[in-house]
Amino acid sequence: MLFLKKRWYSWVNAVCLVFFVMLGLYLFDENLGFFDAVCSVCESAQDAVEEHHAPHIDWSWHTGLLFGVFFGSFCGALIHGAFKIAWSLEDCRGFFGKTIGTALWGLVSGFLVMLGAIMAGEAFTGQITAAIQHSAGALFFLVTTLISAGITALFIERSKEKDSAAEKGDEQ
Amino acid sequence: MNKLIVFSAMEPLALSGDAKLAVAVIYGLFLGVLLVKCDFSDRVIVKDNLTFKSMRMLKLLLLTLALGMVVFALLRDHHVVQQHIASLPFWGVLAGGIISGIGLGMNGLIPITAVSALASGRIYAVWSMIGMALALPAANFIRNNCGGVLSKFSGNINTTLASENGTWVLDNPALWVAGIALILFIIIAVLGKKEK
Repeated sequence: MLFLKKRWYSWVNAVCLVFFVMLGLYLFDENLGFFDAVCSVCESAQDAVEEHHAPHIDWSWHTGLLFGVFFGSFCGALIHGAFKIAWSLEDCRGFFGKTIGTALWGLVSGFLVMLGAIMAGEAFTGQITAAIQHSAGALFFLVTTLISAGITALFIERSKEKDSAAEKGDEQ
Repeated sequence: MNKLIVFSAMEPLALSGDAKLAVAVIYGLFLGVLLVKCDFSDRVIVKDNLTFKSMRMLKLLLLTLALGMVVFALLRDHHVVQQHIASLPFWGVLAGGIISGIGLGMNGLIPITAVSALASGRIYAVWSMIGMALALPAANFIRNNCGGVLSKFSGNINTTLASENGTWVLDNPALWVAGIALILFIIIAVLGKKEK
């Protein structure tokens, strides 16, 4: 149990990830992406909203996988001590930032991540498993995404630092 | 010798029906725990890794690629697993990668980690999931109206890196990529910040 509570080294995580990818390929004989699962759940939700009825979930193996990941993450967070109820983004300030800011930021980022995934044919996880299967396109996607994500994250961080420095200057 | 014969006669299990669903749920449970252990469910840690404040996830990704590509080649040669690669146009992957990266850099969440974050108590991940749901009609619109444009102006990028001359030869690009990833991992592990 202590082994589960402790933070693992990155090489332990990497070995476990490789084991799970290979086990998944052996068991399901399909690429292990969560893109189809998320699409299926989203389409069910859309149908439910459009037709005003309770969502009918198509229990494919993708949906089962997503269901398992949800409860696995819940158990993992409890064991690891990472469970924390948070209603707003950690770096948002003020009432509007914590309510409307969080909602808008989440909506826009989620929209972009999924739009990019649809254009590239798979989301990040599916691209990692495809790259492990020697896919040149998946490797290209991973490199492009990580560079783009790094630049965006750095840009946002710099602009926040500038804002906080300006606020401090105003207070002084 | 008998073990070798059994190993070489193996094929993917390729489950189907209810058994596949049941195994997928159990598999997902373990994968969910692993996602939390890898800190993928915590967007603050993911963003720290994207801005190189921490190198933990870069090391994880590099070692996963290096080890995974070699293990996959080994298992594929023994027919334990099979390759599943979809063909996609170059511009689709490039534009998709850039757009996905902007979204990832903004919030640090991808579809599966949004589910994991929600399960870890981060209720705000719901907004990301709603955003993802809203992307589906937009993507359908693009696919119906501009889908042909992307494939018209670009060739297929999803070719395999595996060499036709065999797996364990020097002209196999997959082995080179795995080797480069391993060397980068070692450099970061030796020269980068030490993990506590």
